[in-house]
Amino acid sequence: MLVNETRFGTSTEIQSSTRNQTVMPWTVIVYDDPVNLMQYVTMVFRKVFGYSEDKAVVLMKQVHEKGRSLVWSGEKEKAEFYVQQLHSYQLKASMEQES
Amino acid sequence: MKLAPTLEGGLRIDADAAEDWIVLDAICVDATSLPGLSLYDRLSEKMVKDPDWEEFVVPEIRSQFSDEVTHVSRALSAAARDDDQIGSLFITREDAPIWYGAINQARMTLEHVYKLSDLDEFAELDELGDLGQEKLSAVVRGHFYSTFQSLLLEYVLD
Repeated sequence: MLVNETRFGTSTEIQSSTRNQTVMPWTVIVYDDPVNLMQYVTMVFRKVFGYSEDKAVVLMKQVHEKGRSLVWSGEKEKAEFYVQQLHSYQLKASMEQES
Repeated sequence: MKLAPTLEGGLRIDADAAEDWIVLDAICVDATSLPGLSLYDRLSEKMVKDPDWEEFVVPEIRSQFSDEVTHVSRALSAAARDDDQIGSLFITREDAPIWYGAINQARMTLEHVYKLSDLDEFAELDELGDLGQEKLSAVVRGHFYSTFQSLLLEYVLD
């Protein structure tokens, strides 16, 4: 009986632990480049992510001043879609899984 | 050359000399002259790509870049011009992103080859020193392309 109880307990713990595991989100990163105009980058952020003008400007300035900006985070499939969109607008972009 | 917005939300280009057509035609020449890595490879150099991405995404974007240049080239070839090279070209609202993309490709090439961003963008041409004919020509084209893109952004795209 004791053995069985222990096995049940262990099994429950594993299931519980699996349920509580969180999938780390993916981030979309845009890098600065000397070609794309600031107004254009702002417009792309509005069109691709649906951001407000204010938020798009803040992110554009981060790209320009810091060399890169984390512009979105979430599911992998959506991150891939956004990176594809950014590349098609000729912005330098990549995606990374948060650690 | 004059560029002006149209009532339909597009952009009109009025060329009145052979030189105007030369600089317009240069868009496609510059856009297809990027040496070394392709534009897509440069944009995605920090991206870890899996096989599916390479198979499904990359060809689509490469094709889009190529189609942009082809579209602009055809529009320039089809533009009506008289014996004195006076003619007009209309960019519709729908075509504007394609034009913007092709011009951007041309600017990418100029930046890569001539490092135009190292120059003072507000300096007059005679203040830039002796750049040599080839680079000076690139600077002039670069200014023209940037102005063209700014007008597209201000009046058509944004």
